[in-house]
Amino acid sequence: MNRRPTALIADDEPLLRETMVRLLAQSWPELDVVALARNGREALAQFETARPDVCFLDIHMPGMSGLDAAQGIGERAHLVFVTAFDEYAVRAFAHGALDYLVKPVEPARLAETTARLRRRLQADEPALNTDALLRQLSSKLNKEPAPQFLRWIRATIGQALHLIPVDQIDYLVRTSVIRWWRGMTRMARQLMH
Amino acid sequence: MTTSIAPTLLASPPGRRLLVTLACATFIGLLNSLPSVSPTLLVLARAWLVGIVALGVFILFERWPRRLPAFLARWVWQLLGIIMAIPLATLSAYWLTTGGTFQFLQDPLARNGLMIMTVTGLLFAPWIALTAMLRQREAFARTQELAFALERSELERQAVDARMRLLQAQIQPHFLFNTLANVQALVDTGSPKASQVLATLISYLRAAVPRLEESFSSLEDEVALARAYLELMHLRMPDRLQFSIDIGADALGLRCPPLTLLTLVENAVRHGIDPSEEGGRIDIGIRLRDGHCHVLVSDTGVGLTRSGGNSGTGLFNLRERLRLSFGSSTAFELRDVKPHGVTVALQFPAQRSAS
Repeated sequence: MNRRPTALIADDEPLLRETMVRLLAQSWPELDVVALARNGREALAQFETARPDVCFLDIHMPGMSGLDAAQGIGERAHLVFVTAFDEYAVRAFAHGALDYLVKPVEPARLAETTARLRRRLQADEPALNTDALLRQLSSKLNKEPAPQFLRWIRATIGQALHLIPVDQIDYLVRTSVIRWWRGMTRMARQLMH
Repeated sequence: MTTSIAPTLLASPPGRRLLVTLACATFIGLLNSLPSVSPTLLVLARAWLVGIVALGVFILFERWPRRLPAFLARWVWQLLGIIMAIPLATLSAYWLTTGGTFQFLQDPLARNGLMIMTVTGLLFAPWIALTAMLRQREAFARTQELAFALERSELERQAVDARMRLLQAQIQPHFLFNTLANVQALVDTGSPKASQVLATLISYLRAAVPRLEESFSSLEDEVALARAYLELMHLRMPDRLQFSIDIGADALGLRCPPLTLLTLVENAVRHGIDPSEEGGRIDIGIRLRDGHCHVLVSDTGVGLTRSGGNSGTGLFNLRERLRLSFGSSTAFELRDVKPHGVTVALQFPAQRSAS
């Protein structure tokens, strides 16, 4: 590869975006950051125009997440995910073959990642096909929460949408009292016999 | 009457009871066979029969009837049962072993044997039954003690768990690390804002940490905590988050369960502003009116419909905490606002804090 490598950085926090630019400039001086994005949607749009070799994607971004953007980019660039400290994505990444960095990014850890990326770019290796991994990961992250007790009822009243706590609804409270009373009388009858 | 029913749940296995009964009956039978002219085995068989009937009555009266009148204790009932059963059982045993007739009553020797067996039975059986009940009660007390100890340790564990969760909720490692990443960025670039941001972070932590011990804090502290949080979040998303806090001076000293305002504000950021690409505003208004404190937190974020109603748990817990602190005279309302966003309205009795 003769031309200078290029990169895209996507992060919704401006200070962290700048930090990434600065850290990359130190650890990989010949890399050109050609695009900056504030969310997944912008990242995808910028990718299409700039076509960078490497994308640094924050996982947690408003609107479209980094994982969704990565699925749009696919094999067309080397992907590095940036994730917050205690997101359990970290564990998921550690098992997969995906490149990832944990915020706050440590220069030593970034140096490892950039060294690996440089090797891959120099050898002209194709980007990993991360599609299956990503789909697995995003299904894990968007997992339905465990079933919970009914706590609110959504109601449209006029123009507004309300969340009404279930124990403020007479009907539900009354039926549960009736059910309780029926259970008690049934138990009493069984005791008598 | 529960105490007289419950021990039956812990009754020793029927096999062991039967063995003990048979052993005692053998002893009594051997004792009876000494003066008797009947074959030893016959006397033993009678004693066994009596013992089994007595055990049957003991077990039957242990659970029947389910409820005894208040003046009659279960153990008295069981003893009475055994005392009644022994003469009848002895009579039946003789009747059975002498060919199903009552002819033996004419025989003075047999009458004598019947008397001796009844008397020895009446002498021994109640004590054996009492011992059995005593042992059972002891076993019950021991099990109950163990159950209580278990329950206590479980409750203690839950309390520690709850404190840990509260601590985690207050310190929020996720929030802390993200904020520190920003602080590091400011320091690295030599920004003059770094020191000011660190000061805000310190005041956030100072306000959040001691709350662990308290059941109430003042609204003034609550506002300080919420302001520190919002300032730090504003640093992280300067283009996406605006906020205003408006609190009446007379409301500053009011009591308020810890983290009330922070929960509302965090909820607005996490489920309203953060998921929105364009961000929005958070407005906090606190007023003292008609002896009640009215708290209003509204945001112009994505709203209930788009956030998918994930906000349930935190707000529900907050509502429970308010109710625990102030009883039923609290109000809590969550509603969508146009064109998008959520307003949470909170109302609780105004009480001055002690300090």
